[in-house]
Amino acid sequence: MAVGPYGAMLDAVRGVRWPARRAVAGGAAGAHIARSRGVAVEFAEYRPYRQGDDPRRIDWKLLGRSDRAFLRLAPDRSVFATTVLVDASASMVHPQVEVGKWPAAKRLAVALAAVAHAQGDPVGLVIAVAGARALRPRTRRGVVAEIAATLDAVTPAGDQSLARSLPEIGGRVAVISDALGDLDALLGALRVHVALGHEPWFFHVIAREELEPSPRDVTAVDPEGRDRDRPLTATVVREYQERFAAWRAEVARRLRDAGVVYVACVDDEPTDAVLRRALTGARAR
Amino acid sequence: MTFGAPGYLLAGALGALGVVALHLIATARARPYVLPTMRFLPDAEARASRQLSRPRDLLLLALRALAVLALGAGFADPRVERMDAPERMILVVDRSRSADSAALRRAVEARRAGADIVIGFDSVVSDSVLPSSRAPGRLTVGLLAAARASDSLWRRGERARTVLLSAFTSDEVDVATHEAVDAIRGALEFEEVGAATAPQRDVRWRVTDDHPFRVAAPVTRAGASGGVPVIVAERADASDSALARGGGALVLVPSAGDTDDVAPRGVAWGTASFVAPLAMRSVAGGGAVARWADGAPAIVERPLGAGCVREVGVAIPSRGDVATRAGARALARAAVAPCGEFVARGMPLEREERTALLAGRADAMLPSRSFAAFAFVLALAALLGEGWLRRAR
Repeated sequence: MAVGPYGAMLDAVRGVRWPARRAVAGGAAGAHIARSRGVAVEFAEYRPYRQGDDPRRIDWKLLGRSDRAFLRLAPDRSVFATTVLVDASASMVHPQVEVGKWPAAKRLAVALAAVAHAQGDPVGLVIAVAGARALRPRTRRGVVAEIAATLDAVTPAGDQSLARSLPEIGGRVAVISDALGDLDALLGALRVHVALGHEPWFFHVIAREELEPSPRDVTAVDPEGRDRDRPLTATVVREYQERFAAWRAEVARRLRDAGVVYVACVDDEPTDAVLRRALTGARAR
Repeated sequence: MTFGAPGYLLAGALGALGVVALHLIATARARPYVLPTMRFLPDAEARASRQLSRPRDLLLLALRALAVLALGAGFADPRVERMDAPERMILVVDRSRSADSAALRRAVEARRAGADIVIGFDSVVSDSVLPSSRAPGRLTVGLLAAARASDSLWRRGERARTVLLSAFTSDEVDVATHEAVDAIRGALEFEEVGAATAPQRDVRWRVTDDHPFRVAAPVTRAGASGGVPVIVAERADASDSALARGGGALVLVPSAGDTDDVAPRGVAWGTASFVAPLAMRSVAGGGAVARWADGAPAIVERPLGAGCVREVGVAIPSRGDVATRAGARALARAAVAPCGEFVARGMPLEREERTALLAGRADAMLPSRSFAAFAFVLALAALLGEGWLRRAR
C-alpha cells in the first residue's frame, strides 16, 4: 500500500484500537459490540430454545419445517462506519503549508483512517474546502492510500463551513480542525449527530507558534481578514496566551457538554502519541 | 597608496553616502506576521513605525555602507608601493663598432659583478657582450631589450636599475630612441665609453686606372702604412682571399666595360643616396650595406675569416661623367672602406644631447601590489553579513 510519507507513522499506529464508545447497530461482522437483538441482519447460528428465552427470537420458519423450536442468533460484534472530516480553511496553514497545523491534520486523518480500516470498519473522508472532496466509507484495500493521496492534493484556502460539510451518513465522524471557524454552527450540527446515536469526535489541532508566539518586531495579521493587524509585543503576548487558553477551555467544555469526544493536540506532537492518548479508555457502553 | 581608476572610488563613496542618507530618512514598518489566532490579541496600537536607530539597525547601516564603499574601492584598483622591493641591476652593453674595445672591456669588467642581468647589442641583441663587433650599433635595440627586462622585474615586484654602456655616437640614435628610453621601468643611467676611431685603410687597386670606381675614388694609402688592407678587384684570386681572411677587405667591383644595360637607377646606403644612369649586377648572399630603390641589395658584405668580402652590384658606366659626380664619389669611397665601415661612423653625442634623451622620463616608480581582490572579498563579506542580519531580525 503506497501511502507516501506516512509509512513510518502508520507503522507506529499499528495495533492501536478504536472501539466504539457505545454498542453499535447490528450489521456486518466487525470489531464493535453490537446492540441488535431480535431479527438479525446477518445469521450466525441456531440454538435450541430454552426456558426463559425471548419467544420473538424463535425462527418460526424452521419450527414449521422441523417442528422444533430454535433461536436464530446474530453476531454480537459489528462494523462501525467512520468518516474523517478535515478542516481545510486558510487558518489551517500556519505557520506554513508544509509545516504546522495542516500537515498535522493530514497525518491525524490518515492515522485515524488506518486504525479504523485495520479493524475492518468502512472509512471515508470529507475535506471542507471549496469544491469539497469526499470519499464514501469503504472497506476495500487501498482506501487509506486513497485518503492520503486526496489529502495531499489539497491546499487549504478560504473559509468553508464545517457544519455544512458534516456527512449525513451515520456512524462515527472525526472532525479535525483548529476550531477557528463557525463553532456555533458546528456544535449545533454535532448535537444532531449525537441525538441520532452517532459518535462525533473533535480533534482540536493547535500550532505550537499559536500556543507560544515569540514577541518580536512584527505586526500580526489574520490570514482570513488581512485588514486586521496588531503588534506582537511581550505584554501583548502574555495577555494573548491567557485569552487563547481560556477560549480553548471553553471550546472543550462546550463540545463535551454536547456529547462530543474532544481531543486537543499540538502540531509538533507525534501522531501515534495523540492516537494512543485519545483512543485508549474509550469503551462501549 | 594609489588607485588605478580613482573615479570608481568616488562613485563608491557617493553610493555609501546615499545608503546613509536613505537610512537616516527612512522609517520602518514592522513586518506582517500571519497569525490565525490573532483575535485573541488585545487591542493595541495597530501600526508602529520607528526610526532605525537601534544598535542592530546601525550595524546593518554600517555593513551596507561598507559593502558599497568596498565595491567602489575594488573597481578603483588600490595599489600600495612596495618600499622593500629588492633592486636588480640590468647592464646593457653597446658592443658595436662605435665603442673603443679596450675602454668597453674596462667598463664591462667594472660593472659586471654587480649586474643581475647582462644584455649585449649592436644592431641586434646578442648573447655575448665581449669582444666588440664590427657591426654598427642602434641604441633603440639595446634600450628595448632593457625595457623588456625591467618590465619583467617590475611585474615580479622587484625594482630595476638599468645602466647603459655606450659610446653614444650620432649614427646610433634614431627616431624611436626617445620612446625606447621612456619604456624602461625604474632608474636609467648612461655611462659613456670612449668612442672608437675609424680604422685607417690601405687601398690596393687591382683594376685599370680608368676603372670608373678608381676614377670616382682615387684613394690609395690613407695615412701611415699599417692600415687595414682593402683590395679592389674585378675577380678574386687566392692571395686576395688570404689577405681578406687575415683581416682585410676584399672589394669585388663590376668589370669596367660591362655596362650594356645602363638606365636611370637609384641606390641608397646609410643616409646617403645616388641617382644616375647605372647598370645593375646581381650579388651573392651577405648583409646588404646598400640597396637599390626597389629594395634589392646593391652592395653586400659577408665575413671571411677575420676580414670580409664586399660585393658591389652597382656598375658605373665608363663613358660620360657619371664617375665624376659627387654621388658616385661618395659611393666609391664607401665601397672601398674597411670591413664594417661602409656606413660612416657618427660623432659622439654632446653631453646636452645625451641629457635630452632622458628628458621627460617619469620618476622611477616602485613596484606596487594591488589590493582590489581584498576589497572585493570585503564587499562580499559585508553583503553576506547584511543579508544574515536582515533575516535574523
